[in-house]
Amino acid sequence: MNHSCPICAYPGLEEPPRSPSGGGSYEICPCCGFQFGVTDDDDGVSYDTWRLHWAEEGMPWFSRGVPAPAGWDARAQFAKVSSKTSSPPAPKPAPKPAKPGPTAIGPGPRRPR
Amino acid sequence: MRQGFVPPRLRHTCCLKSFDTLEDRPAGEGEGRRLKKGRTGPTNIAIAKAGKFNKAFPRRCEARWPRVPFVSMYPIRSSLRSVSGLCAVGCFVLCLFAVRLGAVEITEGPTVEVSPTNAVVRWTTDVPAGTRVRFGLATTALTSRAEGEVGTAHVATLPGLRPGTTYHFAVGTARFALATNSFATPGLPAAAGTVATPTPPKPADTIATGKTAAPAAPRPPPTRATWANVASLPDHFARHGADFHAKDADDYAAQAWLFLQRAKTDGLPAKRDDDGVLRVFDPKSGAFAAYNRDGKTKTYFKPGRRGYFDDQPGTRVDLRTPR
Repeated sequence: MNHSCPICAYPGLEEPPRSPSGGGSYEICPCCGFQFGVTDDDDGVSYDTWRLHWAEEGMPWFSRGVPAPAGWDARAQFAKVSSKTSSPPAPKPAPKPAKPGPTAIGPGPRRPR
Repeated sequence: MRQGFVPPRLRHTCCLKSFDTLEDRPAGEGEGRRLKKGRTGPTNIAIAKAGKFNKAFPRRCEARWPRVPFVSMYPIRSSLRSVSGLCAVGCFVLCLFAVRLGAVEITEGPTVEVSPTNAVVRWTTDVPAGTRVRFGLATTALTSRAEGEVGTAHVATLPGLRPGTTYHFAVGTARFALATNSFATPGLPAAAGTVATPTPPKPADTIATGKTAAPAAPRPPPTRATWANVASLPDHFARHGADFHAKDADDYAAQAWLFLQRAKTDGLPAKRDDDGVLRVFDPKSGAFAAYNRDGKTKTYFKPGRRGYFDDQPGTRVDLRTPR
């Protein structure tokens, strides 16, 4: 299932930028290069700041591994960006730790896409 | 006029017509030239000597040459009129466009092919640029260098290396370093003085106390089995690979997988959130990694902000396998 980038409106993100638990997806948008959970949470860069910087640079395609879609039009895609899009809410504080107990890591059930 | 001074060919500033002496000047030529105060070029000298001073500036001449006060165009125009001058200027302009100072970016690599005594470093850039590799035994002591051809595909051979030694290097041009990394040459290092170099124990060796030696590090599976989104791996490697001195994207993915194995062995701080995402942090090295529910890596980097791991969602978990 594809998700849209809140910065550049690229519609091909693999995961939502932020999970229901509040954490970033750590996915790097192949269009604008914003890494959710890192660029915002670690580097402290807001969506608006990154969007402005990306637009000033001429809206280049960022990814070296994911090619730009055929006929990709940066301006047409950028026009879909909502003017109300802003930085994500701050991540929820970590809850109090539960009673310690060993937890085995296994493959787990496959997550449907 | 100084004794023995031979003036250059006097030229009409507007129409590039030249003549040897004022007397050769056709009638009417130069009538409209304006004496520019403060300038002492040959044209003004000629005007002053001829006693010609006309405040009017003909529209014909003004239209052809824009006013450039305080700059004498004579030496520039004279050099441009010669073939060698044109070639020099053209080469300079080409160099400016061919080697964009400070605007070169690496598109692939650098990769290193290592042997006990030498190494070959390869990388590609988006525009033609010089090839220079600075290397040494420490990041602050890159005293040796190897150079190559100007182009977009760069190859440099590092000779005279010592076996079993870690070298740090920086690739780039003569002016800029574009990327840094390190590599280790294979083989055992030479014994220093009379100190004997102990051979590393084999994995199945039993030492004198009866305890079994630590097992060898597990071999990482292929990248496609350890990285969640393989298409995005080059982007993650480009952004975070230098944090771990990864040689290439596969090495970066392998290190992320080994980090998870070490987290299980050593019981590194870890959290798991409601979506099944596992976040692991090593306080000593500052490394952070996130893994999907199936154990595949989402990202692997070193946060710059203190408290980054503490702010991540999830419940603390102990990754050590219960006995």
